[in-house]
Amino acid sequence: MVKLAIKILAAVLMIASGYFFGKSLEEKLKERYETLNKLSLAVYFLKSKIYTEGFTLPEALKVTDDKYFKSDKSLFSLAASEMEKNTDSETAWISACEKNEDRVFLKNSDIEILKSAGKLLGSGDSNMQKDNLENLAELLKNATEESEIKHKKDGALYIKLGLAIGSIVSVIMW
Amino acid sequence: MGETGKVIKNEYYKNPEIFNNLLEIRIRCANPIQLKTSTENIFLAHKPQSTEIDRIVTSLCSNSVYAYEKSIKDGFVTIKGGHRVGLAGRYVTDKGILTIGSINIRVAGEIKGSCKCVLPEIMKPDGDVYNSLIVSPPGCGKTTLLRDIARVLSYQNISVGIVDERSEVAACFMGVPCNDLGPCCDVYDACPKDIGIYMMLRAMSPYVIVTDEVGNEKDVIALKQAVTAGVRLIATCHGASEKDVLEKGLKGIFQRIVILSSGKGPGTVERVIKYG
Repeated sequence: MVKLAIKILAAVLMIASGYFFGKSLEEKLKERYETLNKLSLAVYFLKSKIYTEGFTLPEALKVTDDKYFKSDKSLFSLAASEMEKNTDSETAWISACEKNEDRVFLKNSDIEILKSAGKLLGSGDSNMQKDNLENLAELLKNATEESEIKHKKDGALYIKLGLAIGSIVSVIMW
Repeated sequence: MGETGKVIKNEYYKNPEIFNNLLEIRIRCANPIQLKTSTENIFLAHKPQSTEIDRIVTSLCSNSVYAYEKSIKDGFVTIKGGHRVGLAGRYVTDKGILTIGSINIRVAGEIKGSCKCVLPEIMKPDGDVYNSLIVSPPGCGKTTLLRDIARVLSYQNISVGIVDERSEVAACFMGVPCNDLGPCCDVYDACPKDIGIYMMLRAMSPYVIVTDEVGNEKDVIALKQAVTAGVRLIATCHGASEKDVLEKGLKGIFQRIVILSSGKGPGTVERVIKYG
C-alpha cells in the first residue's frame, strides 16, 4: 500500500516536473514577446520626444524610461547615464544594449537589432533621428510579431511536450 | 570633452583661483586653448584638432546636435547652466555653421546683488517699476544684471514673467529654471520674444515682463503691446549709447535707460538716462 502511494506520488511529481519545465520554456517565450513589445512602444515614444518635442537625447531617454520601465538598469536609463558621463551616443547606446536588465529575455538577434540604431543616434539632423528610430521601431515590430507567433505556437507545444515527457518517464519508472 | 577637458581640469587643479573670475573659454582649431578672466588671458599648451572640436560641440550639445539646429544656424548654442557657446567656422546659407573652427564658451553666472546700484534708479518711491532698458556692448554683464533684477523683484512678491529666448536668463532645464529667480517668476524658455510676450500677457498676468536682447521690429511691436496692456518692462539690448536705442525705435517705450560698459569690469554702470 505504501509502495503504491509512493509510486503514485512519484508519478505525479514526474508529470508536474514535466509540466513546469514546459511552462518555464513557454514563460521565456512570453517574456521575450512582452519585452520586445514594450521596447517597440518605447522607441516610438522616444522618436516623438526627439522629433516632435525637440528633447535632447539624454532627456528623451530618461523620459522614456520613466514612462515604460522606471528602472536604473533599463536600456534607456543606462544609455542616458552613459551619455551624461560624456560618452559618445553610439558607445553609450551599444554599451546599454549589452548591459541592460531586459537583455536576458532577448535573443542575440534582438540585441543586434537594438545595437544597429546606435550608429546614427544623436548624429545628423532631426529628420535623420526620426528615420533612424522609425527604422528601429519597424525592426522591433517585426521581431515582436515573430515572437508573438512563436509564443502562441511553441508555448503550448512546450507545455504539452513537458507533460508528455513527464508522463512517459513516470510510466517507465512505474 | 576629451584631451581639452583634461587639460582644462589640470589647469583648474593647478590654479583654481583663475576659475573664480573666468569669463570665457576659447577653443580654436590648431591653436592653444585660451582662458579669459576679468584681468588676464591664459593660454594652455594643448592645441585641439578639428575632430576634437567636433567632439566637443557634440558633447556640449549632450550628444544631440539635432536639438540645437535652429540656434546653430544663428551661430551659438546655449547649454545647461545658461552658458552661451559661440561657434565660428564655415557658414552655409540656410544651414548655418557646418564646419566649426572655433568655440567660445561664455561662462554664465548668477551674481546676486549685482543690481544693488541700479535698482534705486529703476524703482519708483511707491515700489512701482519704471520701464527700463539696459544697454551695453557684448560681454558687459547685461544678462547678469537683468537676472538679478528679476530675482529681487520676484522676492519682493512682484509677479515677474521672463521671456527667455536664448535660455540664458533663467537657464532652464526641461522647463525648470536652474537659476534662483525667486518665488514669483514664470518663464517661457526658448520662446521667441514676440510670441512669448503675447502669451505672457494673455496667460500669466505678469506685473513685470523681463526679456533679453530686444531690437528687431517684431520685438518693438510686442513691447509696445505690453506697455499698452499696463505691464512694466525690463529688457536689454546691444549698443553703447542712447543713439543705438533711438535707432532701434525703443526710446518711447522705456523711462529709464541704463548704459553699461566693462570699463571697471563687466557691469560698470556708465550712466542712467531718465525720461519722465
